[in-house]
Amino acid sequence: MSAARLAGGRLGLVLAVLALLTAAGALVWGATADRAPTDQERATAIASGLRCPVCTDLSAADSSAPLARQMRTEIRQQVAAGVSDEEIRRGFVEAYGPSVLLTPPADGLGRVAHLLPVLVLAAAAVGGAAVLVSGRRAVRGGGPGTAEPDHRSSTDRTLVDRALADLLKEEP
Amino acid sequence: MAHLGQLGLLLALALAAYGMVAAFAGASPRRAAWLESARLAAFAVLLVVLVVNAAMLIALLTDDFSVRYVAENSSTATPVFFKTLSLWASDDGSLLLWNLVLAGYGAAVAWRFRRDRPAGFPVALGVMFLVQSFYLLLVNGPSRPFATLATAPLDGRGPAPLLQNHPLMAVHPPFLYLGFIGFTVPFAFAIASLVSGSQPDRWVEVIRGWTIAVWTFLTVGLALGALWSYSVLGWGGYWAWDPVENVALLPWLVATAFLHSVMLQRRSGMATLWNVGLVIGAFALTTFGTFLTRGSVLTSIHAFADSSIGPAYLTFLTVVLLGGFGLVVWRLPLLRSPARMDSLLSREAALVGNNVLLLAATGIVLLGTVFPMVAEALFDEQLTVGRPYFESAVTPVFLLLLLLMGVGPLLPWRRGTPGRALQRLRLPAVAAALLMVVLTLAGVRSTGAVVGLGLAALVVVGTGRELVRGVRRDGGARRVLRGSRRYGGLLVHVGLAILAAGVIASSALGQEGEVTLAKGETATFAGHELRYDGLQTDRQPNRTVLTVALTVTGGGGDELRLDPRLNLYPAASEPIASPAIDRGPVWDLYTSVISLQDNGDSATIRVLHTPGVNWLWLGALLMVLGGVLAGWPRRVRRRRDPATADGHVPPVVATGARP
Amino acid sequence: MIRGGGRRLAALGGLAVGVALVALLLALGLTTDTKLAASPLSGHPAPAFDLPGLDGAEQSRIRLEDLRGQVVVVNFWASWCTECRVEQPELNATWQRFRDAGVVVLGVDFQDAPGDARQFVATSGASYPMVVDADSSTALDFGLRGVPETFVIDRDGRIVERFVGPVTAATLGDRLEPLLDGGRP
Repeated sequence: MSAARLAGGRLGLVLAVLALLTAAGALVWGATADRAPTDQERATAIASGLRCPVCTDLSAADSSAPLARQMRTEIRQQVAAGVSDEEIRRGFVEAYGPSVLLTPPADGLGRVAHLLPVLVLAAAAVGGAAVLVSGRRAVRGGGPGTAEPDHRSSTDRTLVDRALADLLKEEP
Repeated sequence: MAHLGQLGLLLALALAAYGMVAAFAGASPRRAAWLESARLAAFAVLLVVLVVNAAMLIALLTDDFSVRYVAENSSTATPVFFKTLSLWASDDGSLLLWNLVLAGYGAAVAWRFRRDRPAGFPVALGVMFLVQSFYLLLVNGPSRPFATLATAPLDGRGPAPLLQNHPLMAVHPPFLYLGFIGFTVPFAFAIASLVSGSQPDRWVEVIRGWTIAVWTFLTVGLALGALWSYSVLGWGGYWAWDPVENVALLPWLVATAFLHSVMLQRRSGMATLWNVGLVIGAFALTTFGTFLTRGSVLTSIHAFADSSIGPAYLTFLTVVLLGGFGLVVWRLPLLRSPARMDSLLSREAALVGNNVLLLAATGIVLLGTVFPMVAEALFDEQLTVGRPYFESAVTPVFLLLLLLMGVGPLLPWRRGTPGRALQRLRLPAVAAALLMVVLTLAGVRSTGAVVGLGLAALVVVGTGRELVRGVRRDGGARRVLRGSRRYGGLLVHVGLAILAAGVIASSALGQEGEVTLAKGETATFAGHELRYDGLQTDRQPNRTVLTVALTVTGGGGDELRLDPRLNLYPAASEPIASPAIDRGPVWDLYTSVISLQDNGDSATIRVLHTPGVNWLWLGALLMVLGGVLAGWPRRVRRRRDPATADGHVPPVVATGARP
Repeated sequence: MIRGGGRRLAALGGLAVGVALVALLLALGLTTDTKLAASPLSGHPAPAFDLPGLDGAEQSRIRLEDLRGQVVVVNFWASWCTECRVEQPELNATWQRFRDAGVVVLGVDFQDAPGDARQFVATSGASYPMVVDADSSTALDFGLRGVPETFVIDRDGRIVERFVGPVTAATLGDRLEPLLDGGRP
């Protein structure tokens, strides 16, 4: 409770803004102060993106199947030998086809898979915005909402107003 | 037993079919007796299906290998406990349990309306029977759980090794079934409200109540599945984004969306059409998921292989989609309810945002899951859409949801002022910012993890304060229960935020590695010293257990013994690993044997040092408690309050909420 | 109301078309057999290997390079795989029929306990050479997804066919004959 009071008032606001700014600054600093991943981290990252061919669900990093173990060993060896991530992946695709990649490749049909989330999000955003805008319009000028007044809506309104009044009394 | 079972299934089908006809006929008030007999039929179906399940159980327990299912899924050496679990170890048997749960729901609906018979009830009951008839038809035709073998083998094959490796298998499937199958009930009432054409608003309370119960069951089922995966499978993770997990998540997401948008309907009469659509959508998704897992489209550890009942599911799914959404379209004029948005800074707007995000997540997961199937069927191209894809596609949506969870519940209904909203957000925002700074200074380099944990803190602090304040103000337990909907919801939010923090921490801040140790040798991993002390072999009737004794010395010098195991089952091509985990409030040390070399002279161990895994279970527990609280029936109030007599709950008063 | 009714019918029609499309797609998914996947290695040179014999003797070590000029049938198997036991006689028959025509049938033991594997060979009476891929590296090079899988390598060392699952002597024979007539398929 005392913390809440501390956060109240003008000082609190200043503190809050300061804290948020620091957080943003820290984030930027944290993101830019990158360090090169170790060989082990690189190998794990590559293996996590490859499917263990004899399992159905797990990545090569997660499975304990001997084949997955050998995949990890080969990845480690190639990382140590200075082969690039992309080339290591390509080696597995050559033997197994693109289905060995847990994320579809970014060309051909795979590009569609990468576009799907974007399209879904865009559609959802448009839909949500449409609802909000039409809702606002209904309130502002006699839209469908005012055209057919709903008795529930009006009781509701009274109740909300009453509750709001309560709240204002409670929390000055 | 086989005859009893077969006969019982036939009888149950006949009863369910009768119940369906009688219930639909009983929709006319002149045929009340028909309706009454349909209600009784619901209890009769439950009884018969119960007997059928008991018959299979007895066949399993008495090693009756003349029944093919028993021969294929049990053996004399299987311990009694796992013999019992074999009841749902494979497709045919699990369909019996499926029918049992569904019959249970049917009977529950019949029982719930033993006194009052509202207008849509007969249709709802009829729809329950319709669905039940379909599943009973499945076990009477395409799938034959009681099929017998001409000559009974001396011993059975035993259950799949993975399924007889841990007692969690006893609870995970039943809860998942309770959740999955439960969506039939809200669906039935949604259809009833559409068919009867009575104000759908009258049904919203009933549908909401059942959906909360079902949502809670599904939450338990999903959480237990994650716990099982973590404690049993030995890879150290809890969610693989495997298609079967995804299809279980889909109805959960849609039901969650419904439980939020239903508040719009109850308070402002908005979104009626939308809500009915969500209920039907959730049920359609469970049917779709069943089709994918059982219709032999998918292969995974969950999928039941070699099932020939795909076409039957496909037909049923088509009927559900056409019938359900067809009715929605048919009733469009009745359901169209005006959207009113007094302010974009209001609870209503936040709820719209919630639905947008949840459905976006649903869409992404659904499309990602079916994409490989489509690619193969239409373009003959094999592609995989796996964990990294889903993680990167869904994470932004979930982070936005967390943000919305932090802000939304603090916004007032109808109209908010920026100043007020900011004031209530100040403390949580400061807490979140501080955590983010601390995490960055502590060396956390993943921006996503820092932001995510910050947002989780925003929710926990903001919502937690709201919860504590409210409970303190309301005083006694009885009055808290009266406001149980709001408190339950808030508790779910706190739980989900804790769970999210666990997911973020464990996936971004953990370490994993592999060590190979000779006997007596020591290796260092993430500040711990691991020593391989020796191998122990234990021959049990159904398996051989190889236990690797590890001594772990932590940073503080404390010693600890971990015993990861390898289990050799005769039927398995590879040993099944049982991990050993040192669980802690923040850090888990997870060890799992990958392989043994030279008769156990050396062992290769997978080691993970993961933070936050236990927050997952804690968060899930709080969510379930919140679900129970939110779904707590409140009959007392209804009788006292005349305003609710017409079936509408007066919003603010009933929930005891103060915006 | 009439206009509303028309719109409703249109919406119903749209719904029906949509559901029909979904159902059609799912039906296609049901009928697609995921096992009939061509190897991406088809037409490419077979990955080189040099594997020790199952019996452990130094002279039974086999290098793929050394078999250049012959048609090689590489069969990946394991003793725990029941389908492998089923197809074993078929491979034996192929070996007996084609061994004098320049075909080598080669068994590669995959993810197995050596003792079990030797016992499998003894009880099944396999007479063609057997090698062990102890660390699965050869399996990985061949893009193996499980056992049994059988690869046919032509005289120039190129992979020309891959069979997923058990093979029969008849299908294998049909595939081998054109490779042996001197002509290239």
